[in-house]
Order: sequence, then structure tokens, then C-alpha cells
Amino acid sequence: MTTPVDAIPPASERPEPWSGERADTLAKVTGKAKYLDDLDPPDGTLHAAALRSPYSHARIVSIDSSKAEAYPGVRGVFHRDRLDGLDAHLPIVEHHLGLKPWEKAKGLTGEQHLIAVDKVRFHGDIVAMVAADDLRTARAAAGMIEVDYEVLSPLFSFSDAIAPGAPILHEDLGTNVAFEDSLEWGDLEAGFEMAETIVEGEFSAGNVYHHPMEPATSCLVRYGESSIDVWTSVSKAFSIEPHVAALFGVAPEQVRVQIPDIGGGFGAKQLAPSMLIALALSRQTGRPVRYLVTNEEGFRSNSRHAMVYRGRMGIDGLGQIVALDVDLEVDTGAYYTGATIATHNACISAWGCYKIPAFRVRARAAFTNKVPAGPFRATGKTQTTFAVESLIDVAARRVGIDPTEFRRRNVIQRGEYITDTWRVRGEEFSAKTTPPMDSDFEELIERAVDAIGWDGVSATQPRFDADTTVARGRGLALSFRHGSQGGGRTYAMVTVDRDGKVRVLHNAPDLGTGVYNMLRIVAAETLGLPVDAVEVAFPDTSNRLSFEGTSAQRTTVQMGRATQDACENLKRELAIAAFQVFGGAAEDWTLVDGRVSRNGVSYSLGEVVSGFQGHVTLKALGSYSYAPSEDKAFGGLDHWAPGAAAAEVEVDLETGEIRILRYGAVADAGKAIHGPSTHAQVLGGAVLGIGISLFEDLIYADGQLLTSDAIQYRLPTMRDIPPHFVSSLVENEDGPGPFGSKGMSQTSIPCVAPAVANAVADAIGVRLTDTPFTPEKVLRATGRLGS
Amino acid sequence: MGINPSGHNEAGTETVQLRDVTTTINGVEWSGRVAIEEVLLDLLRTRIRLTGTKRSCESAVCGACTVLVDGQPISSCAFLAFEIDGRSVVTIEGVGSDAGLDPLQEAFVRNLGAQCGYCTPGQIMSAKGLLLRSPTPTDEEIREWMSGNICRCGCYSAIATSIREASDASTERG
Repeated sequence: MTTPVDAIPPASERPEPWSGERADTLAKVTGKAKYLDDLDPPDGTLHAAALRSPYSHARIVSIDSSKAEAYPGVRGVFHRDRLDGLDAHLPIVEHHLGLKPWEKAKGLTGEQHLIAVDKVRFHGDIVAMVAADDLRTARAAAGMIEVDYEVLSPLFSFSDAIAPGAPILHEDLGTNVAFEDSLEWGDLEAGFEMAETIVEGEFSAGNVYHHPMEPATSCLVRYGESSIDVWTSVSKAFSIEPHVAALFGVAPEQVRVQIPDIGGGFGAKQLAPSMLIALALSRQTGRPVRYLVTNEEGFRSNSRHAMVYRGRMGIDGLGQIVALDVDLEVDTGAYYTGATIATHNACISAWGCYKIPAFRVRARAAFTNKVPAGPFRATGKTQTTFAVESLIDVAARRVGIDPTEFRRRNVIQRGEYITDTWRVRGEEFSAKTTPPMDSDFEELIERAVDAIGWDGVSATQPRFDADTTVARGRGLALSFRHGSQGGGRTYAMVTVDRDGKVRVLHNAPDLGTGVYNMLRIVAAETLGLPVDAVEVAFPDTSNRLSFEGTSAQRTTVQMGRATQDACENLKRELAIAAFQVFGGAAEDWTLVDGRVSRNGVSYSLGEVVSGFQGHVTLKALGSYSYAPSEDKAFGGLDHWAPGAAAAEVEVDLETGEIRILRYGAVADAGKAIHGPSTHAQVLGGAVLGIGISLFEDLIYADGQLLTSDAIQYRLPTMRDIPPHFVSSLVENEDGPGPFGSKGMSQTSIPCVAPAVANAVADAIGVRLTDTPFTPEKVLRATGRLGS
Repeated sequence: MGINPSGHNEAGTETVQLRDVTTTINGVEWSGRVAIEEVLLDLLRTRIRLTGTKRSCESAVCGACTVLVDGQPISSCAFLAFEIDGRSVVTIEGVGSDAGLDPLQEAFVRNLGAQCGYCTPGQIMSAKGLLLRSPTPTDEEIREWMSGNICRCGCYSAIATSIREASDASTERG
């Protein structure tokens, strides 16, 4: 093939890459994109079906799978009595911030089992899995397995779980408390003594499901002697191998994970026990196994933690916040899955974005009989941001300062540290290993209120009287979270072949956010090539290029920087290659406008590589590490990720319905490497935020999860988009990522609930404290419906 | 499905009723026997290997599996395959051609009407159905019609813009 690189126009004549067509869209609009379900499975692949618990809490008395095993076409059955010598206890993998749940548990028993052993602990817990020649047979056989249950009373809330005499979900632990966390600084008592006004509030956020359009946790697996292959869609490609290695007693390097196109994640696309069970069936049968979950099973794979936030805030006579004390109750569902990370993230965001001299948050997470909760877009922070940004409005109105002005007075300013030192679970650390504030909330506030055509001033009196049926109001909310956090060491590799194409190899799965397109632009810009001269590979862990995973807003900074570094190293590699092929000295050869040049003579990349005898692929490795830190609050952080949003709502006092008329969301992107994708992340986060604020709710009653399909669980549609719906990006090119970029994809979702709640309070003087804000709750809050 | 031509599953444990079906899929004639309970989604994806049509909610709510049957968008997850007998089916693979993209596809690319892309074939097929019926829809018509297609990435504004632009393009061509 001839090199397309020969035809490149000079850089000045090329369309700029920052807003061009995205690399992955063409395959998506033509139906050619290949998701897991679309891959051709290897010959002989068996189809798996799971038998899941119909109860939220029950003891398993016996399992009889004889009928299923005798059913023609069934090749394998796996359950607690058919473990093939495997240990059903999954190992606990330590979190990088040293949050060890078993420090409390003093044992390995509260962690999720590979498959239900003594009990089932949520409605959908996997009891057995069958592998058969076809899916129809597998499902029929799974239904033939007879399980004798002793039904136990379920716990569906934190308060039920810690009530005296409550049944213990994990008996060996002796308690339903899964994890305790705390963060504090300053002198809380002295702070409240300085306060002239003290406000208190309790805010609740319920369980919701991410609902990626591609159901979560499907897999295709093959347990081979030399290689254990897993094809699945997860955000963390290397999260699977330690569990596979521990379960089967193999080396982690024997595990190869390949990730095709992913149909959305939002936190749901994680390692699941079902993947390990499918592997166990593959090992048992000697055949590849494909397990495709249904959407209803997806509802049973993951959820957002329900939380109750109780805050007490002291404000001095000058309108400055002087103290904040927070108690957090976290409902983590049946297993540890996300207890530590969600609880901790809630703690490190519980103060919002304000300079507060004395702060304390104490959090407890408890097990309940709900779907295990895990990461959810802006993990832990949609719940706390709703609470603290509501409490700020309550405080501002109580002290008689306009809420927008109150925020301006108290918000953390560029260059300020959050505090000097803090205590994390009683242990003291410097707070100055996190960066000082590196953005301007003043600018974000300005843009947010401008975006909806508002001056930012709220009504001092509600805008309705006894005759009013529809009232309008406006509200503001800010969000603040860590950008690009944690993640060990990140590697990327770039290669050039004889065709002149540059290929980026990496393990940063693209859940739809545009990761591969972003890496393509970073590589092309760094090398001075047009974007279509660069291809970005799909993740494949056999290349051993480590990366923590596409989460915590780290990918643009960490994988972007690793790719940039690889491209810089490739320039040196190209110079050495040109010297070897064409002579001169290596240091004379430089890359100019995508061509390797020396003394006015230049060659395309393909010509340099083709100059070697035999086959040569030029390669260069790049890496990135975040600043190491002993701190256990953030544990290494590259930048802050602020957000702001303003909403104008209409409240129908007859029906209780809230309509968002105007909504503006603002993020600090540093530099939007691909503008349309960045705006799409900000707006898309806000759409998800609208869903979880207004109607999405996982409802448990009568021992069951009731809203676990797309009919019962109301998702936002095009009709729910505010008539005026805009995003705005701050781009000061001051971030640590390539070209000054920052992570920003999780900044918009937390703002929606508080911005809407504050707008409702502005409209009707009633404070909504419990998401989602359903019409029923609005009518109860306004006293138009009895309690 | 694992049903062989004589109506048995491969293990021989079940017998199901079969129907002969002759249809046109993306302009190509297709004939075969289908089990009476087989849904069109499975026929397209599993037997004909047209995998552009996506499986998601399997309850005719989310719109990811939308295809056109005689120009009408339907949820193929809840549409019995034998009902396509004598009718014509268009899937995402039948939209646009090697010569070029359909104006809707072009507009989706231009406006970034897709992020993860999993709902996109269904969005485009629903929008095709709308433009066939109403070549220049109002914004309210677009919102109403498209409310049966969920996009969890939240690309709704870009999707609406894309449909509006594609309808303008069809108007310009007369």
C-alpha cells in the first residue's frame, strides 16, 4: 500500500482537528460498529443462562440440578455444590487509598461470593449458571434447577440495617456496618461558637441504575491451557486478571482481556462475578462460553448508592461559613462492591466547594438486601452535591444574603488550598499535597447564569400566592470534584509500519466518551500529522500496557500524556531510523510537518520504515505517573474539576410536575481536545442528571425490586430536554493534560438536582430534600397532598 | 434460537411450529422457515447476521432495535418474524450505500448525534420513518416521534438537530 502520508497538505491548509468529525461515528451510524453481542464467537461456543434469586434475602437449603444436568444439550452446570474445587469466596483487592474494608471486618467473609453459597442477599443474586448448546436450552435448563429457600426478612434501608435486632446479612461479620470513614479539619467547636446563625438540613438520594443501552456485564470467555481469554465491556481492562488469577491459581499474565465497542457505562461496566462463573463453566466444559445478560439482569448488576446526608452549617455575622458538620449514611446494598470508594468519595466532597475553617464528616456504610451498589458517574458526589448545594441556599436565605452572592463570598478562590492539614479516619496528613485551586468559580457562576439569561439574583419571596397554579423560579448549583485522580502508572505505545500509518496501542476503554478520538488528535498534533494518518487500537491487555481504567476523569490527562510522551519518543526513533536508512547523523533528522527532514530533503514516515531490509515496525513507548502522595483523602491528584449550572423551572402546583425550561451547564475543560465531544459530555451528564433528579428510582417493596425494566423504570427521553439547554466551556489551557486539558466529564451531573431544587424553592418557597422530585413528593411538600 | 429446519431444537427436546417466509431485507429477497415465536430481532441478528440492529430492553420501550417494515418503524424485539412475510424490511445496513451516506447519517456524523453509538441505528431508523411520513417535521413532531428512542449518553439535542438538517436536505433536493 502506498503511504497516504505523502499526500498530506501543509499544516496551515489542514482543517483544525479540535472540532472535526469524530473517528468512531461513521461505524456507529452505519451499524458497522462491533459491540460484544456482535462478535462472531469462536467455533463450539456454548451459551450460558443464569438462575437468579427471586428473593431479596433467603437461606439456601438445597439445590437440585439433576433435571438440568440430564436435559439434552446441557454441557455444564455451576452452583455451590458444583464448584469444581474452586473457592467461592472472592478475594478482596486493596484500594489504592488503603481503604481496607476488612480492617473493620477482620476476615474475608463480607465480600461478594463468586456465586451464592449459604444465602442469597438480593433479588437477582446468581444461584446457578448453565452452559448449553444454544441459549434456548440454557434458559430452559436453568429454569429446571430446583432451589429450596428459607425466606428471611429483607433490609431495604440503612436505618433498618443498623436498627437493634436487625438480621445480620453477613453473619460472620456480626454487624451490618460495612465501612466507616471520616475526614475533618479545624476546630469544629470553636467554629460553631463563632457562628451567628446555624442551619441544619437532611437530604436523601435514592438508588438509581446507570442503564447503559448495552446491558452491563455480558461476556464471552475461553478458558485455555495457555491463555484465558475474556471479551467484555468494562471500563478497567486490567481489573479482571487479578480475580481470575486468584480464583483459578494461574498467573495474571495468562489472562487476556479484549474490549470491543462499548454501549455506554456511566460506572456500570465493571468486573462481575458472572464473568468468573462463565470462565468456570468454560473450564468445566472445555468450550468457549458466551453469557449475554438481559436488560433486567443488567438492573441487577450495579446501582448507585442511596445516601442520607445530615448537615449542620454555621455562618458568622459577615456571611462567612465558619463550620460544617456532616453525618452520612450510605446504603451499599448486598456486598462490599463499591462501599469504600463511594463512601470515601462522598466524604471528600461533603463540604462542596467552599473555604470552611472547620469541617467534619463522619460516614457509615451498611449492607442492605439491595442490588450491590458500585461506581456511578461522579461516584458519591451526585448525592453530596445535592445536599450541600441545597444547604448553601438554605443558609444564604436564612442570613438574608442572595444565594449567588453567598456563594461568591464563600467559594474557594484560585490559588487557595482547601486547608493546611486534615485527619482521615483519625490519621493526619498535609492537605497541600493536593493542588491549590486552579480554576475560577466566579467565571463559572457568571457563565452559568448568563447561559439562561439570568442576572443571578433570586426572589426574596416565593413567586406565587393562593391563586397561582404555575410558578417559575431559578436556581444555581456548583460542583467540585477531583480531576484525574489515582491510577498507578500509565503506558501507551505508538508504532509506524511501512504504510506510514501511526497506530496508538493502549488500554483505555472508550465507553462512548470519545477516548480513541481524543488519543488520535493528541498523537496527530504531537507528530504534526493529519488525524486520518493515525489509528487508535481497541484495548487488548496482551500488550501489557498498564492503565488503571477509564474512570475518575483521568483518561484525558493520564492516557493523553502517555500518548503524547510516546509520540515524542517516536520522533527520536524516526530520526535514528532515518539516519540508519538515509545516512547523515541522527541528530540532523527532525520531523517537520509530518515528514522526516534533513537539509531540505524529506521523507514520509512510510518511506523511512520501508527503507529497512525486511520487516520493521518502529515503536516508541510513553508513560505518565501522577504525583505520588501519602495522603489518604485524595492520594494524588492532578487538578480540580469544578462545574456550575443554572436552571429555570416551572412548577405546576395542581399536578406537582416540575418542568425545566432553561438549563445551562458550565465546565472547565482547560482545553477541549475535541470540542463537540466535550460539550456532549457536559450536556449528556446533565441529561442523566435530569433523569435521576426528576423520576429515576429503584423501588424495593414486598421483598422485591419492583422497577427493574425499561417499562417500570422511567428514563429521560427527547421530550424531557429543556427547550433551552446549553453548555459552556472554560478553556484557559491551564490543565495538566495534553495542550492544557483537564478531566471534566463528571462535573455536570451533580449540579442538576440542587439547581432544580433551588429553583423550585425560588419559585414556591418549598424545599425539596429527597430525589427524585416526583409530582407526588412536590404535592406533599406543598401540603396539597396529605402525608 | 437453535431450531433446525424440521422444527426441533438441536437437542431434539422441543418441537415448534414453523412458517415459510419470503421477504425483502434491504432490497434483497430472503426466504426461509422461522419458528412462530421467533422475533424479528433474533432473525436479523442471529440468522442473517445483520448485527447493526441492537438488542437492549427487549420490551419495545427503548427503540434500539427499531427497523422499518413497509416503511413503518417497529421494535424488532417485539415483532414476530413470520409477520414480515410478503413485506419489505429495512435495517441500518440498508440505509445509505457504498456510494455515500444517507443525509440522516451525514447529519449524525456532522452534529455528533452519537456517543457510545449503541442506540444510534435505532435512532436513525425511527428518524427515517418520521421523514418518510413527514418530510419536514416541526420540532414538536420530532420530539414526539423520537420519544420512543432512548439515548442514555444524552445526545438528544444533537439528534434533533440532525433530523432537522436531514429534513432540510430532503426539502432542498425537492
